[in-house]
Amino acid sequence: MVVGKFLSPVGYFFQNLHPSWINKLASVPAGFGHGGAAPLTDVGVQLRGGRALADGHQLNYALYVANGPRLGLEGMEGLDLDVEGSSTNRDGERVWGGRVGWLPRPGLELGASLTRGDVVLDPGEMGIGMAEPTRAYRVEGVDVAWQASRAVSLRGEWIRQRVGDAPMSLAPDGATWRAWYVQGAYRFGADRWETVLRVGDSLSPHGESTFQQTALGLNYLFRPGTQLKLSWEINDSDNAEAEADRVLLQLAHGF
Amino acid sequence: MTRVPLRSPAIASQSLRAVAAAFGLALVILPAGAIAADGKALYESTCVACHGPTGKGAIPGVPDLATRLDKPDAELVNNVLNGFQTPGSPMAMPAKGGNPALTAEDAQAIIGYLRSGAGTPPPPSAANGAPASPPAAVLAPAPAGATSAGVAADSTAFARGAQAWADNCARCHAMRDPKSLPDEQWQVVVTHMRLRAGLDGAQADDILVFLKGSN
Repeated sequence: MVVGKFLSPVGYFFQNLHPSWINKLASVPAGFGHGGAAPLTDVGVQLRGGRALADGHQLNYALYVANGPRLGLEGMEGLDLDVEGSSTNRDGERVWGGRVGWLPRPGLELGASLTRGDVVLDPGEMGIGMAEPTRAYRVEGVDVAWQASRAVSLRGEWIRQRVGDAPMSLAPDGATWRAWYVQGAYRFGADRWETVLRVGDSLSPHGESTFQQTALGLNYLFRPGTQLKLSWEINDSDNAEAEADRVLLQLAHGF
Repeated sequence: MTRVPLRSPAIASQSLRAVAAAFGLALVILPAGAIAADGKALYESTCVACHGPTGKGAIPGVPDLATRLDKPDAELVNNVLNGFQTPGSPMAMPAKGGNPALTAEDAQAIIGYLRSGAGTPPPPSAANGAPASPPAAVLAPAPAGATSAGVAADSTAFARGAQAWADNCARCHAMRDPKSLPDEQWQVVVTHMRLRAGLDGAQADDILVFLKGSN
């Protein structure tokens, strides 16, 4: 059982793969960071565990009840979802959900995530004296990871957050954030070297978070927890800021 | 409470002598395949989690054993007993494969089993015309219980832990060398990773037994 602030158990990447010494590229997949489609952290109560089933099958689960995100405004009508957990539950609403992972055999994991709840827009200074209605908050996600061989690992994830319409609100239209990626990695050179290819897509109400990305990486592992990563991102977007390609060099060290 | 009568020391001693005699006789008359089966059982209880059922390696950082069997038996036994790190590999094999019950005779039996596999090269002494490593059937008799102690590890938490470690940890991150942390730090790490990886309590306990046994 986990009580307090925790990495959101919804989805797979952020709760398990985002640390730089685990993530195989120097950046997170499109839509899986701040302002993206995946919840990041939350404050509440979480129950996690696993169970070995018959025939070598394995099940793991994470169920939670938490404060949920904070819904604000960006501009006059654009909804902005703050998915960083806070001990202050400003809208008084709670969300619940979790993720279940199934391993039909070692090396292959299939996961599904879901969150349900309500949120209330916090319009800030623009909504002084106005009572905002409750609106639905929904998250769905699926993920897969496959260790195809000792040298090749493949994984992918799709996740979507939606905030419902509220006709009586200052911002009546709902919004959708959606992201997916697939990634393959290949180890060689006595497992010291690794190449990575990741393709992803992020959809958001905001232009700077709506883009497609192809990322290539070359990593050198000094030790299993210490690696130098060179990544090249090719981004495609209607937004000039999100359109920029990047070359990243990162030295990551973890436990 | 029911009391179980103890056998007299004399009877117990006779029984032990009979078992020892039978064990020694078995070493003389058993065909090579029977002894090799011990090597197989030892391999499958101690080595298979990392090296895989075919010896080609089950996890990143573990080399194909077929490329290592060109060394003399004595060197391979020494590597098994004292641990070994392939040059350039981020992973080191713990001493005795992490199984503290493994003896020199057990290590020899495992190597005999590996050499018995199709496609595995003979030791260099055989290639040079010198006597090859002794066939498994004429290995120096192991102390009574030596091999059986190793085989017994098959049913221990150690073997289960090695398998659970190999199956679960590489799902997210590069495999750590079991010798990279002291026992007390592994305790903390496994407690954390039980939560993160969705392990059940028995799996986490077994992995901890394996990691502590590998140090």
